[in-house]
Amino acid sequence: MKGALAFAFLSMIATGVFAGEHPPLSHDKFSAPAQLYVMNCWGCHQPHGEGIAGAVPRLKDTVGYFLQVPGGREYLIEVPGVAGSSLSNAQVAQVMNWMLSAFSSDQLPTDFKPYTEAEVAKYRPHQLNNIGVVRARLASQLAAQGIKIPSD
Amino acid sequence: MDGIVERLTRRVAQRTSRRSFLVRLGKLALGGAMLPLLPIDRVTGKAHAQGYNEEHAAGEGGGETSCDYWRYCAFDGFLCSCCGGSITECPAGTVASPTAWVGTCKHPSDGRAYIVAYRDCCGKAQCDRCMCDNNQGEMPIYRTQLNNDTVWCFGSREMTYHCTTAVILGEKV
Repeated sequence: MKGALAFAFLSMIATGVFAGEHPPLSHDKFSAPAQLYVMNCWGCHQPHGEGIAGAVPRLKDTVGYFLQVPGGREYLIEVPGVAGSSLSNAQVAQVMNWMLSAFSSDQLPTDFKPYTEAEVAKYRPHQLNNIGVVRARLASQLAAQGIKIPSD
Repeated sequence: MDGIVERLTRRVAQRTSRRSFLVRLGKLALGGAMLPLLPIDRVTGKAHAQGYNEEHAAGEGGGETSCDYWRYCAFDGFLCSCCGGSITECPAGTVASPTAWVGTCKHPSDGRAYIVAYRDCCGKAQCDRCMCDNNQGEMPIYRTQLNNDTVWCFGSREMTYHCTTAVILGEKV
């Protein structure tokens, strides 16, 4: 009798009669710009901007180089994933500045100035009809300075 | 009166055993414990008998094999929990795609929003069990990064879709 009651009691706990559903274990919170990255870029560019060779451009130790050549500053805003995102211009500036400092601060020019909302608004409408050609041009400019970046 | 009760008690005692009494009591207790597994939304207390369909056939009631489970609010595909994997792990013989679609779901108990990564498991023919099509926050296909109709196996060596996991990345600020 005692055994049957104990078994029934344990069953009730196991089936959630008393417990209900617990909140998730992870309560990690991101800073506002990091959250923009997680929700809009993380899925492809990877948690630390590693990218995927041959599929998704690498940001880590790379993206800052683009600001060292003419046209590179515009390029980072014109790329489809940024220009076509659902983020506002202010949010694009916020997440871009965060990415540059979080993933590639050592590659930034010494006179680096953070993007502003107005600057994003200026570059964003310009469509890159052939992103591969533009990237290759920037890559060759960087190569002339002795800097090698991944081809895609 | 005493005689009637005595005869009745003796007859019950002769025809049944203590063990069968315990078995019946156990069944009753277990049956009571199983009641919450019936198709009832524990959050609203609303029964889902109406509107029940094949897509929700597995595990109604908010478990990880149910399309109604809170973490699946933006889920489109087959639940890996029904396909030999789990809510966070791919089944054997498949590989987790390096890319994932990210959505936000509100937890029913604490009312907070959590960021969830929906990652496809690839490399085997589609699982075909526990198909869920929830689209909270989804955008049209031309906003690819916010669309869950896309097979998110790209970046993987295997492009055949099998099922999808749902991993919490953190709490939304």
